[in-house]
Amino acid sequence: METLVEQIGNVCVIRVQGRIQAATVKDLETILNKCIRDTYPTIVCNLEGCDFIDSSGLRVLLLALKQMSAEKRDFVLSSLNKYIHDVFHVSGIAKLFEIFDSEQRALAKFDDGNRSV
Amino acid sequence: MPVVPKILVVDDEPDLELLIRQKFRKKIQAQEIRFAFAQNGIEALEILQADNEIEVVLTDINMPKMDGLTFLGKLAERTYNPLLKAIIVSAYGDMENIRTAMNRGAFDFITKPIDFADLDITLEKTFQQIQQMKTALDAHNKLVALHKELSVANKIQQSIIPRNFPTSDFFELHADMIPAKEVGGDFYDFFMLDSERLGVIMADVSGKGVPAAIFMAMSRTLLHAHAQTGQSPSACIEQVNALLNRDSDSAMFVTVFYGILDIRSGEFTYCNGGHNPPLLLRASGLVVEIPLTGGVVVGILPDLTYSSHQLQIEAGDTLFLFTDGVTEAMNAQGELYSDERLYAKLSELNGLSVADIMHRIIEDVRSFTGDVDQSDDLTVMALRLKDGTV
Repeated sequence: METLVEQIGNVCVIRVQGRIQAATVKDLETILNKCIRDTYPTIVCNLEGCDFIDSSGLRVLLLALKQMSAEKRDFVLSSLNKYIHDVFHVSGIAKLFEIFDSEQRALAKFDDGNRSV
Repeated sequence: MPVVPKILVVDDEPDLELLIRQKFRKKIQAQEIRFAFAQNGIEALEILQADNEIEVVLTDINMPKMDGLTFLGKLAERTYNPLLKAIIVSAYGDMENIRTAMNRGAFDFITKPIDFADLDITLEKTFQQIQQMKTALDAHNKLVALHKELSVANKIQQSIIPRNFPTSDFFELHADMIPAKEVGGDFYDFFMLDSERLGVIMADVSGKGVPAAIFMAMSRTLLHAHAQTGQSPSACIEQVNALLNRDSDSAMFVTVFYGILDIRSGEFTYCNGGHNPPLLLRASGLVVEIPLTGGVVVGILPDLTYSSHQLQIEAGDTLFLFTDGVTEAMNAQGELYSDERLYAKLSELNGLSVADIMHRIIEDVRSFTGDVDQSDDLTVMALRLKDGTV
């Protein structure tokens, strides 16, 4: 599993590729925690390249959501494929996240256009 | 951080200590080596008893009170540092004593007069050997600890899963849970709430090993206790979610399906907390999925609400509950057993006893996965409403 982080305006975008599962989830957790500590008002987690997620992955995403919501910040998802969407649907968590079709749509909502370095 | 090696020199020659401290002066000062000294075997044993940092013993053969060969024999008898290695110092050409010493477990020998360069090399070689053994012993101990931990998790899981299946004029029920090597935290439960109502639960804890087993035991206890009040499945799950969130630091969750069957009327009231939906095998052979109820996985987010739904189960219908260990079982080609295969197999087995249905499904999953190690618990339950009851 690989992750790529990019700052776009006031949004922290995390792009995840590959399988989010018990063996690899620690890396995702570390990245998420770092992005949560860096005080972006919004984190977009782009799961386009992700073709598998297990309960450890759901757990990590839920914990991030919990923490960000407690601080009145936004943690949203984009680009879920059908399989991932199904997993979210069965586990009931699909309705807990704001889910966008694409990273662009998510940025359209949250990016303030500010390009300070 | 490797400890500085410590050698016990056992020799009655008065000048030897001075000589060794002189020849090894640089290494001693650089804290690369430490020495202790004894005059004979008895003194040496006393020192070894008190000091467990000594890794190597360098011993002469001819000494008063206790000679070197006897000393070697005593070393073998008692349980000093198990990695302790003995090097003997013998007279040149004294093959008989050298052989005796080697047979009594000496690691190596050097001859008199002592060539200190040779001694240095011999000691280095000995330390390296000891280091290798320490590493191996460490790995072994970690493995033993891991086995113990897995065994504990396994015991916790086995202790909470009921195996006494009820006999009834109104229904047949059977269930099984086959744990993976690393306990996956699946469990099922069933209980009569009163003479007319049967409660069934199928659940799966996120995570593995002892933490999952503990969370599983907690979840099962809470669910069982709150179910006994006879309230609706959704009210029960809602309360358990609140309690698990309050008490649990571990940030784990459990997916839960809880249903109550009225065994006379066939009315089935259920709530699904994020669990893969059970299947209903109708008497006709048609397989349908029990609709989701919108519930979220339990135990990780507070203040969630849950809903109960209802459906009618007819005589001859079979409810099949399971965890994703079944549908996500993988073969060597990386293919999943999948929902589709399960539906097809279930339909095929229509009419068989619930025990048979269960066993055949498990068999089918196992023959699908072949030699691949089971990566998650396999948990299944089959419940049929008997003919002539509704």
